[in-house]
Amino acid sequence: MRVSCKQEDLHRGLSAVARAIPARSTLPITQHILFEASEGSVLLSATDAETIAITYRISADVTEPGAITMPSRLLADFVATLPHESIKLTLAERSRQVSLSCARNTASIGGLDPDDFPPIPPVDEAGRIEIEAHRLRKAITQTVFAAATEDSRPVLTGVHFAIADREIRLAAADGFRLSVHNLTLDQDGEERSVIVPARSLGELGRLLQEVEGAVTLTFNAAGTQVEFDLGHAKLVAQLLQGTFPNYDQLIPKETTTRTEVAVQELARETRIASIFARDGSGIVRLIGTPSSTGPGRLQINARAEEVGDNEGEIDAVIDGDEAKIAFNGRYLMDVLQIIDSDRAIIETSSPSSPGVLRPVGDDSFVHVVMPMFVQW
Amino acid sequence: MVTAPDSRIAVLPPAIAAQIAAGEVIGRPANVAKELLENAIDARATRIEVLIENGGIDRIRVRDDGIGIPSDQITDAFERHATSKLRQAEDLASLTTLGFRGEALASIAAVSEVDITTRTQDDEAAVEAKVHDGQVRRVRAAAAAPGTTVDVRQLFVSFPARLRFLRTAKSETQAIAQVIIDSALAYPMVAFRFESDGRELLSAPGGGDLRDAVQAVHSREVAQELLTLSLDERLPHHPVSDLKVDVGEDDRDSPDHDSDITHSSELVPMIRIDGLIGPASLHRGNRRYMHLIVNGRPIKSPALLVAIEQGYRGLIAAGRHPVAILEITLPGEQVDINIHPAKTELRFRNERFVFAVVRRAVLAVLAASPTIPTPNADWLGLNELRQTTKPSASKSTSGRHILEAVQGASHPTPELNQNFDSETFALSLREGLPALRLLGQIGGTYLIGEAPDGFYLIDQHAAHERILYERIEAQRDATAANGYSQPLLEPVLIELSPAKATLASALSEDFVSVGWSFESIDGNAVILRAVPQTLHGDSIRRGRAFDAERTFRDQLDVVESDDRITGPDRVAASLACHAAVRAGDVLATSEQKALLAALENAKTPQNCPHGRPTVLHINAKALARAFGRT
Repeated sequence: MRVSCKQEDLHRGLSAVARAIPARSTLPITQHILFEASEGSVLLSATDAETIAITYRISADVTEPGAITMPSRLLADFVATLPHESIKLTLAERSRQVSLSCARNTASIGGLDPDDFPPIPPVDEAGRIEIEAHRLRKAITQTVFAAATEDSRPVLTGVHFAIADREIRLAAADGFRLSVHNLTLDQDGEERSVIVPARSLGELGRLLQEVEGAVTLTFNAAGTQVEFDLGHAKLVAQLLQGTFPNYDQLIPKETTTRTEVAVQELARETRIASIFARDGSGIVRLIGTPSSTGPGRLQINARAEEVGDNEGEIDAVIDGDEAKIAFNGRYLMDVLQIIDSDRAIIETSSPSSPGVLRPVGDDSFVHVVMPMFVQW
Repeated sequence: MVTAPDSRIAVLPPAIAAQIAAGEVIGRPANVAKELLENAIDARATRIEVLIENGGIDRIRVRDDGIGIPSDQITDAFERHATSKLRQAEDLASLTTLGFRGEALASIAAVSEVDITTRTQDDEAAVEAKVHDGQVRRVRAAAAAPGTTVDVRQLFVSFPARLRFLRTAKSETQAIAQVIIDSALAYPMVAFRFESDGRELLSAPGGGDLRDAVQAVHSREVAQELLTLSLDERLPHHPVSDLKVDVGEDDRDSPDHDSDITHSSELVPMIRIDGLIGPASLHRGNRRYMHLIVNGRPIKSPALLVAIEQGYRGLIAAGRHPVAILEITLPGEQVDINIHPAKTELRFRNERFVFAVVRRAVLAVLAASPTIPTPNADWLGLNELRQTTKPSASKSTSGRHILEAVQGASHPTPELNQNFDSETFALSLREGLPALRLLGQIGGTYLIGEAPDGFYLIDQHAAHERILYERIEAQRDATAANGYSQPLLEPVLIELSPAKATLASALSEDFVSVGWSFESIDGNAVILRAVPQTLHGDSIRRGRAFDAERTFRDQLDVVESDDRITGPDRVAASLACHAAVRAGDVLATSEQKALLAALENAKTPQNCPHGRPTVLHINAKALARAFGRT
């Protein structure tokens, strides 16, 4: 094998696939990346052999095709520190020792037999959907944070994709909050309901940052895998099996108070209150007071036992009764950070009923968060 | 078949009646000692000597320097119900003397042979009498200093049945020692000396300082460590008629609730609590180090001991007991001592109030001086140094606990933490933990922090447990019925084993009080609706997943196996224990800092709710000594 590629390309590719490598594994080869050189390009692959696989293609000058695995961490760290020049990789016939050279640096890295690398299964075409990358990315951003990181109910560690007509609904819930995003499609999708692990979607969201154009989703016939084809990169995720909770019933149909606020202002006040709420386990209290003459106001306050308290106030357009509700500051911050509209509406009914947040002028997103029962 | 008993009823001869009655008062040698000690104290003695032989069975001699008995009354003194302490029935309500029944001498004389020598200040000479079978046999003049000496011999010699019931001489000696300990602590102004079979077991100097008495009874180390407690409080409102001192006719239950009505100050009945209590780091394996004195009388009150222990709640491990000597003073009509002839039990008119005041007083003192143990000097190899620099702390017999001396034990009672011998090395910090500069984590288990006075090792699990426990308690106090809780988006059905389901439903109120919300449904399942806010908030803050079902199951497991704490605190403590970081959890620096900061703010940072220490202090001075820098 004889390959020459740009340092920047290899670095970018290694960083992208390294995200699939498990932190701990009993299978040493999963700590390696697979390096396959064919005409005009190199395909980098990494997988945890269970839930996720990422492949990334970079352009390269391949004078002699070949394949080898190399320890991901060592290779990535080495490449990252090299200058922006071309890197030459050579592997002698029947050898496992890769020689690398770049500028006046040379290195030798021991690899493993590429045939031992866990196979990345091809995802056969049972259903195929195209979505614009930036829209998919927003849908992921607005849902994936609400998924549980671990739970007795594994389905909650995933994001539910419900495909019907010309729409995909993404939903995630961790037992205390629910995020739902509606994504309209240009073409009819085959009706389908799957749960994609939130971790895999998080990695996909990262990869999508550098993609313009469309992403193709392909599901396999067995309903066990999904492939996201980004063009130069692909991510294959194992689907979670199980039934996702019926979340429509969890979104309150009617609420008594609608409080419209500027997202940045509320985020700032929540951030300040959270500093004080740290000792009090994150309790942030919201008190909305309507006004008949001018704009109403929303008070945001928190107190730390025996340390101090904080009270902030912002303008709010309040439609309905006075509202009091306490949220975990972190939950509030999480949702405010992913709303990309200037203004948002908080819908509430009582201190013990769920709060609903929606961006103003964008009905693709809704978030439901449970308040806390606290002493007022 | 046994011969039919003579069925005629006959009035018993006085001597037999006296012997039967004596049994109520005098059951063992310690009772003799107690009655004689009380007489001596009532006689305003400043010095009392007790000498016993063979556990008091052969001989008990009590000598005092009190007022003595006038020579013409010596015969009367041995009559039943003869007393100088009570004149009329009304006096019973406001007794200030220890004795009043007038039974002591008569009862003792009924079961033993008594020699008495007594002289008043005014008499020229002493008078000596021999009492045999309850009769004063011989009275004659003798030479002696003012005061009274009662020498009791041949106790129960004519009562073989009772003699058989006595325990070994050693345990009878212990019982007598306990009586003397109680008296020495109740009357620190009186000098006591106690001698058993020629060996001095206790010598209290008198002089009025309770600490001196404690040193004589327990040890110098204990005495030095004790914290002073002093509290005055108004008794709760009573109907005005109650405020008269002679309230004999009014025995309505006093209302427990406080009232806004104020009384003119001279009429307001007060309760006063004085004494010494040990810091939380000083604890013992039994309750013998807790002493109660009510209106000058040593008494036993399991309820008040519980009140004291509640003050140490969460500071001392279960099964360990604090050291405390409390003297409670309240108007005579507030207590009834005349419940039992031995007069060791009493009844408070308003026990709940007294209980609450005692608990509050203990809490207040402890809160003002949290203590943090420092490791035993041996840990730093300082033991030898200490011995050379600090010559023998205490050499008197009082260096060892008197009861241990009695038992001839050569080792002190094993303590929970011998390595952390807080008796000698505890450090009292008025302000709790100082601000600590984090140095890092050791073995994924301990945090290490530095302050000007040395460094501190913190058990991360115990510390976090304490922090969470206080938060749970704070939220519980604030809401009374329901702890702060974080409801679930959707209720979760949790199937449980029959045992767990029963436990959950039995403790449901305690669970609710810390913030859980669930209902038991048919069969063995619960529907979980909300989780404790403290736990949820703490997990979220630390960026950890919060799994409601698993947490609930774990909590049930912990509660089921945690029998170290009982009552409503059990759920709170096990909740804190479950949620706290574990030993072995590697913590990010920011998390370590947060933990230290929270511990600094804790009310009682020094112990976890189960009583284990959270913090060890390595004194800068000890460190310097260990390195030979001083």
